[in-house]
Amino acid sequence: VGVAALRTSVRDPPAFAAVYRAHARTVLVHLTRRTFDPEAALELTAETFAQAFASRRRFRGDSDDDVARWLLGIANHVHARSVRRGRAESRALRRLGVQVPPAEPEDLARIVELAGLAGLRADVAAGLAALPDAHREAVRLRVVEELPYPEVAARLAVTEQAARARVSRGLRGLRAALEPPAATQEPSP
Amino acid sequence: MTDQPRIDALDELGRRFDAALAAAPRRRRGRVAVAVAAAAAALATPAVAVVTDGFDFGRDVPRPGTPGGPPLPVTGRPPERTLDVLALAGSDAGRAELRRRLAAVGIGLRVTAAPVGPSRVGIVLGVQFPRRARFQGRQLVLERGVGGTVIVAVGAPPRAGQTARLTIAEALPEVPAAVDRDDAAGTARRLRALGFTVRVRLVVDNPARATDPLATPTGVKAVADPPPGTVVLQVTNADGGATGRPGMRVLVLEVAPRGSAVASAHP
Repeated sequence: VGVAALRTSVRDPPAFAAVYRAHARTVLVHLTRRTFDPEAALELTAETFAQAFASRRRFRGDSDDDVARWLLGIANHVHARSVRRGRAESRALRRLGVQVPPAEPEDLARIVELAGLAGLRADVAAGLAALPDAHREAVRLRVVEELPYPEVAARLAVTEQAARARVSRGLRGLRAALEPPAATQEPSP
Repeated sequence: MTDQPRIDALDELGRRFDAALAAAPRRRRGRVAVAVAAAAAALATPAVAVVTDGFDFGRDVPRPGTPGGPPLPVTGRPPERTLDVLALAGSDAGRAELRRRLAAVGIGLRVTAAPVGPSRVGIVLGVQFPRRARFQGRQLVLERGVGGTVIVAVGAPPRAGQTARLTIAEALPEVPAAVDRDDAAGTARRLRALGFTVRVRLVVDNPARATDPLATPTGVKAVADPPPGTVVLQVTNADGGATGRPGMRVLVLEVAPRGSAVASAHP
């Protein structure tokens, strides 16, 4: 339903609703696992679909899987921009005139459960434990303590370049635990 | 298909997309029953600005008074058909009036209490409109017959078992004491001396706004320290949010060039 609806929506915008219904949960789960914050993930999901709608003419895929990959690519872009800017982007949403509804606590709990955050945290903990001590400490100082690199370097008694390398290698080692598994391609609700 | 837990917010978001997409290809005509005057940008986020000691501790809050923001023009609408929801929702009497006026066009009003610290008790934290509400310029318009409910979230003292969401000023009273709007560099220096890791963001007016009223009002970039000639806009947590907790170490200091539109909006 995704690719056909997406193509139809170029001339018939309401058809895009089917794209949302087919992929909203997948995108929400993906973003929840990236942000660890279901409320932020909901806002980013909304912006993802608003940007997807705005750029639907540029979709070049052939299958529903291509639609999912395209949406997740937009979601990653929206997430990265939100990290850089320190806030959720909402430009496309505002252009569309859509407000993100507030999520009740029960909703947030269901999103956390759906995204399997508890398991993910365990995976991250296991991934951290498996890192070499130097890399784990560098990640802790930079990501958990949020220290600037010069201070990380000072704490580790290494150069700033070495500190950056340790953080980078540590994060790379964690990637397997942080990446959502393929199973998050869920059936539409 | 497996049973999926229902996520009401996701379903509601879908309905809002449906309504927006249905409106996308054509302009609706007439029959506007109630025009709700409100800043579109302010309503695009679940929270509204909370100004404490002259500083905006709002979460992801558009900066009041930025080009295209408030004050709120209400053009082409008879005054008696226009409601300023944010203003009315801030008091018991206003909410009664709001309930009556909305009921006249078949729309309900639900007021919910959100647990907050003392400084935000009674403040309107968010307004949620029925799914078929839509923006028209900078007004949010409800047409007769759209039905549904306007939901207003108002700050209230936490009940037993609830945890209040504190503002930064409530959780860290030393922060507002260290902030001097006209001394951005000194503010950063004092906050750092208090042990905070301070990330500075420079906010500038977006020149594209002059030709595109829907363009983002401002642009933001990270800088090491407040540049000369800047003033403090606001202090947020690391996520750009309004909330704080004792022991929090990272703050974001937003500054803007003195005399810019965004700076002028923060008296």
